[in-house]
Amino acid sequence: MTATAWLQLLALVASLAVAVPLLGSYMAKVYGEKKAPGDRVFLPVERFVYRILGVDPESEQRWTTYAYSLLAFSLVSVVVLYGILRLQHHLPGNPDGIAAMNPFLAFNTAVSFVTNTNWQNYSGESAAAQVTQFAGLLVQNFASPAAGLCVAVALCRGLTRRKSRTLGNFWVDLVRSMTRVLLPIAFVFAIVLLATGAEQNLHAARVVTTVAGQHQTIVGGAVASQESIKDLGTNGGGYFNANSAHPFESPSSFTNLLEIWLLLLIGFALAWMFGKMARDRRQGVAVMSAMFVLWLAGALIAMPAEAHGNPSFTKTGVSQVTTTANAGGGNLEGKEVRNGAPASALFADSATGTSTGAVDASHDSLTPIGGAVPLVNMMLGEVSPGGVGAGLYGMLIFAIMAVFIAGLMVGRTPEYIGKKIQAPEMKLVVIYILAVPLVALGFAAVAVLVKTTLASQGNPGPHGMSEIVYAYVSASNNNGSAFPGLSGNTDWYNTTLGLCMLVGRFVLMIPALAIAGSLGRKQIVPAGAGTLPTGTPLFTSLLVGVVVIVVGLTYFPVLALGPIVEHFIGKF
Amino acid sequence: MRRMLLTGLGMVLLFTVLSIVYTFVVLGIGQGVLSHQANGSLVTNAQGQVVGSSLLAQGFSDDKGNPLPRYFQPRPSEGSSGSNPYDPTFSGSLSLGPTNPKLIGFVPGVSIIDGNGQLVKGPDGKVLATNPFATPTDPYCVPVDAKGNPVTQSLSTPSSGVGDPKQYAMNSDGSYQCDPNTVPERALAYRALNGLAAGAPVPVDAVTVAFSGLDPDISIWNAQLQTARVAQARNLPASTVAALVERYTTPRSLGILGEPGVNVLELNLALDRLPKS
Repeated sequence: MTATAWLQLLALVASLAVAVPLLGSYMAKVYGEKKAPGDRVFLPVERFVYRILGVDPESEQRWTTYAYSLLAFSLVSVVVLYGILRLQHHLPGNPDGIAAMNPFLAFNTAVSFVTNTNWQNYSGESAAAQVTQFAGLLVQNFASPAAGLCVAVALCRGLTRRKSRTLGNFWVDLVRSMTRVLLPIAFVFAIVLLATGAEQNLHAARVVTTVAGQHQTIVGGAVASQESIKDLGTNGGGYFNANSAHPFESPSSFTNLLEIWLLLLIGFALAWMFGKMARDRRQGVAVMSAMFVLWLAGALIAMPAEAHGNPSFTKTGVSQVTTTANAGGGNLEGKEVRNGAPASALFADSATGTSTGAVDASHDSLTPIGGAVPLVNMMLGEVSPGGVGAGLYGMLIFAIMAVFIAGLMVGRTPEYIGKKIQAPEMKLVVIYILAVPLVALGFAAVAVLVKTTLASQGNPGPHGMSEIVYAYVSASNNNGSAFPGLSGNTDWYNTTLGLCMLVGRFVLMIPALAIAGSLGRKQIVPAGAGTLPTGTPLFTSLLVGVVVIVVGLTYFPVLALGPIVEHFIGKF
Repeated sequence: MRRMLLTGLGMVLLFTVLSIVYTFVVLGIGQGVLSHQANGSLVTNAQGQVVGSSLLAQGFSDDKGNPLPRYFQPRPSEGSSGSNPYDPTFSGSLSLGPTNPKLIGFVPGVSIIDGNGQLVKGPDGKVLATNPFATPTDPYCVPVDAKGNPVTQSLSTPSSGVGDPKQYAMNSDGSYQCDPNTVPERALAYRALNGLAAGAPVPVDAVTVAFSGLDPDISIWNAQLQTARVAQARNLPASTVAALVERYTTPRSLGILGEPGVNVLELNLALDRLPKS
């Protein structure tokens, strides 16, 4: 790898280090009980909305009501989006005359966008009308991270409140997430993306005669506005099939790094917010450090692996030498010249460490180790730093697991920031941790045994198995990226992947809220001599260990059969 | 519950309204202030006709698909609905994996595998040490069938070993016809087009596809290797062409982000604008 490739990693970390505490502190105020910046602008608008929708912003909800509200919102979201996808050929704003999606594909797509997965079994440019993009898919690009934020905030409240039966009001948290966090930031970066070349128009596709006298169809669309929230909200559903590899979505090496920055921003900032809400910054820093260590480890493995390239290319006289003139060299199959191999690997690590389905390269064409990093990131539950909301509540659940394991070692009742962790919470934690491996590995096992589902593989051998496992792990963790060689648009994959997404979203969110409710009711006990301090580097390393061992080991056999065996076959 | 669903519906409508307003505000700014970018960075030729977008690669081949020597050639593309690559209505690639013979060719011990994913063995029971389909020019040749499709699985194995000629398309000299889309075959074609010696190193971007299928850039080295050919085809001094290559090189953003590249369409348009010598 070239020195500049390392410098861009450093630049990314430095710019995050500046922005994360600012945004984290701001969000702590947005979801806090006192005045927040911007109240004068936002409060009157929000009050108007509450009055129309019949929401009493002062009334707080118990965890059950909070969860029912979340489910109601998600259910309506799925139904409305499904309707739009099925009826898009009747709607105005479809200048290219794109037809309706079939029922299986529409189900898969609607669930995919509502659960913040953004798995796409369709190509945006040929199967989604412009109106579907900006009045259907874009809506869920805002709504799904907003709902994720609500659950994370509720869990923070449960951990930090004293003897409280309530966790806040879902509708209020939802509206404030939209108006005060997602919309303003997305707007700023939509303009930046637009200025650097992302298109923003509502033109019908335009046929031009090329220099060599052939025809090329240039597709129009409101891309810039969707692109910024796609990344900021850890959604990842590309306007185009090629996602962030498409020059209209990410026109330059600057926008590539900007998009990586947007993917990571809220995830890390939420950990900072948690520290603020716990009135102990070290608690937030400990959780954030665990996220950072996992993310950095992925980058340090994947970037050199891709820069090192494919030994089979070298045999045929193809030079992957890592020089500036050779566009940084390395494995450029499936990658753009402007991004280069190291930055593409960094994008892959960041998109899968968060719950973003965005890609700026084909993950299928990564080297075995370079491709194993995104796979492992998802298997670890996407907590490095994780999706908007989902990352923080995931990591906090793992933190509860970590204090429990530490408590078992020394024989004390475990506590986490003053809350006793007891049997009811641990039962819910176990549900949370087991649900995803169960559906992901279960469906993948069926899919590799059935001839018709095996036929969807785009690559032979162990790589083909990696494709199928990647699909189910991605859907179950609500990531949405793919080894795109797999032809997922079949009734089997549309249905089973859709089910995985629902489990990965709601079978995790409900226990997280239940834990929040249960912890919220408890007294805060003062730290004693037997309390494990959780704001220390020691706890960070314990947390990383728990994530890697408890969660990661579940998947080790399947990794051995896929990327690891391919690494040795290909003599990498 | 009914009340909750109604509130949920109201919220979805609120989010929809906000999304539409947001889209149109960005649209207004784009069309008003940044219209070049907002409309897809379209570029025109010397006659003022729109010929494409500076952000999207396009082919510089004749109608038979042969590259035109007087133009710099972009990276290969698999973004196509069929015969026409560089098609923005089908962005994407075939996403071939790093050990797929359709990408790397038949590398003994790596990619010659049967339909069950097992390495193919010769009559002696050992994993093949050489590619039975090798041709004098391409030791990694992947054979094609009569229709031109690469054959990578269910390789015919008569008693003599792999490679029963009846199943494959053959050249007149008795060698196998090779799939032209493997990296080794692309490297051979690249060397032939640019007059490079056999076995000369080839830049990796020249023989691999981008995921978009629309990568507008090539590496600086790739452009430099094409310079002599383009200059000769246009009857220009190589220094003139080299100067243009340098001019249309996009450096790393902020000096450190990503990699530098040469924009092929802008470079070719600049060549066309040069006064005829």
